[in-house]
Amino acid sequence: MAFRAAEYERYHGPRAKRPTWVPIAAATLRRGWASKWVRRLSFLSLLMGFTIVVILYIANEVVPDWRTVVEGVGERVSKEDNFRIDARFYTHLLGMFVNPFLLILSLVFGHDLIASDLRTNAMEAYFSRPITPFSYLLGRTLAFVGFLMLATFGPILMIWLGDLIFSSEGHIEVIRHVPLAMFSALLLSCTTVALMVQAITMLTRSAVWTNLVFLVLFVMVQGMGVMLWGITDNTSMLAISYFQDTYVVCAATLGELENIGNQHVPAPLAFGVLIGLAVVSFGILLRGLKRRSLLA
Amino acid sequence: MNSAAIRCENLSRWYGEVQGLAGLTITLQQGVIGLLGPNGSGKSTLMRLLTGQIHASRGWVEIFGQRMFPGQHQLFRQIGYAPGEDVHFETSIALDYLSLLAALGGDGPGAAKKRAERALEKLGMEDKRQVQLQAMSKGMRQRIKVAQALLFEPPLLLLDEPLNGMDPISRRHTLDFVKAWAAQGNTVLLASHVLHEVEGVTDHMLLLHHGRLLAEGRLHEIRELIDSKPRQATVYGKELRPLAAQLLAEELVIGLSFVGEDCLQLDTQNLPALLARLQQAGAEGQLHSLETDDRELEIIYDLLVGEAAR
Repeated sequence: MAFRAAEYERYHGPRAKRPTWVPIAAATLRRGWASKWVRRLSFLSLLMGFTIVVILYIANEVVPDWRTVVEGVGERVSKEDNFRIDARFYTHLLGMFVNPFLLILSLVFGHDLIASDLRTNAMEAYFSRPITPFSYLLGRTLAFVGFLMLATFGPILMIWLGDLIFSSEGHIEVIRHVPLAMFSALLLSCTTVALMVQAITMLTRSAVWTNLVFLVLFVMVQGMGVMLWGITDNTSMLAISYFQDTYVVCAATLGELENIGNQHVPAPLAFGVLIGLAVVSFGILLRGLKRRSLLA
Repeated sequence: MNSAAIRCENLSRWYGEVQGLAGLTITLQQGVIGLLGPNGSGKSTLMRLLTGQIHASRGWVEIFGQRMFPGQHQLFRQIGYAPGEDVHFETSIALDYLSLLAALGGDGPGAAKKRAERALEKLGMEDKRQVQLQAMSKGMRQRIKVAQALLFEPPLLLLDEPLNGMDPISRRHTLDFVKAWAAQGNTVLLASHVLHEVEGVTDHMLLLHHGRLLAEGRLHEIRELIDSKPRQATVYGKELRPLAAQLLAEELVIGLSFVGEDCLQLDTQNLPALLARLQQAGAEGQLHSLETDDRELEIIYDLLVGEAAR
């Protein structure tokens, strides 16, 4: 065993100027990627997107004017234009796989990010370094949102590219704005979820309780929103449903609000709920981290 | 640095109704200082206040002449802190963990890795750089915590019970390191609840109890207090009755009792003299083994605050 104290010299090398949230974010990304389930879910989500692209390709090869055929069938069956492959089509993807993956991935990855640090004194090691609670939170949240965006926006981007490649020239005019619109809507949605999961963790300090509270909030409250809407006939009641808010926000950013009927939450309320949840969650987290007595 | 390494003035901290630290006023100069106290005495609270982890409810702390409070990040660079309890490790490999903490201190990726390697070398753990932290013994992980405190070669090192769970060889190396570190002009505050762990590296002690400073002083002053109280030794061997008679005749024991034929418990007012005599008996083959009580800290507390302190 080499004991080198005698030849010790104090290090005077350069110090990097980069923000302190960067190593936290990088470590969180590594931690997420090290999780077998996070990898599986992310790949599965991307695989769903890829599968839809393949279906688009095959449809295009077999029946080149399949879009017109599908639209015609849709109009005859439902008397509506639900079968059009335009920007509104992307809001349907939310229910198909985006929201379920968002929920499951949040539960798998998010529940233990801060909880384990709180449980095991890791905060002391971090906060005896020159980092602020804000930097810590920013690093954790950015990486978490990164994973959620990979599993939600990633497949949507793939589908959009497939849609663009396997369509006639004029189609780009209809879906040109989709990537930016879906990116902003999902960024808001994912950020809200990421902050909420961590805020619940901060309050419960337990991975199990976080998951239970999260499930109650996201599953039971969905049904409650519909019930309240049925009782009061007020669509604003649907605003307590996170998925309804996300759907409306996506429709609004896609400019498809007038095409999704009128039985939905008013868009300003949906935006307000998501932003409000994010701000409140952020406040809970920052307060919890600043009140360092939580560590004692 | 001309200023005192640590100055606390009326430093107090409450956790709601619970008093973590009460009115601590101390000035500590360079060297190794032992911070002694049982669990819940306020050692960790003091460490957290010194590292700017928590706000003081009253009073203040100065580190090298500068006020310390949460967010005082410039001072953080002068302090290395090894927390007391087992920590969660963000990454699985020792080198990655230390690199992450170096990066949090402001290093770029390359510099952080180099610094982590140097810290491991300092503690003689360079061969453990790729070892999974989960696969390490508790003692090894304790040394990793000490290594992370050393990353930026701080002039002030705060070690909260660093020897817990360490095997004798690791203890020896860690204590040697602490001594060598202080000999280079640095300050080390070494918290423990076991007196003999600390007395191997320093003569300067702080004693905390129920959040209050019970005593501050040199070890020999504390030793005098301990030696005034009866101590106990237990010896194992065959035919102990002649030895017991000799010890009574030599007035080295004030009381004794047999626990079976092979075990003898001895009460003494002069433990060092008794131990010397017992070693002699051991060399003559009269004894198999010898144990002494490990109640030094308890004795001190009894003396300073009476039975109510226990």
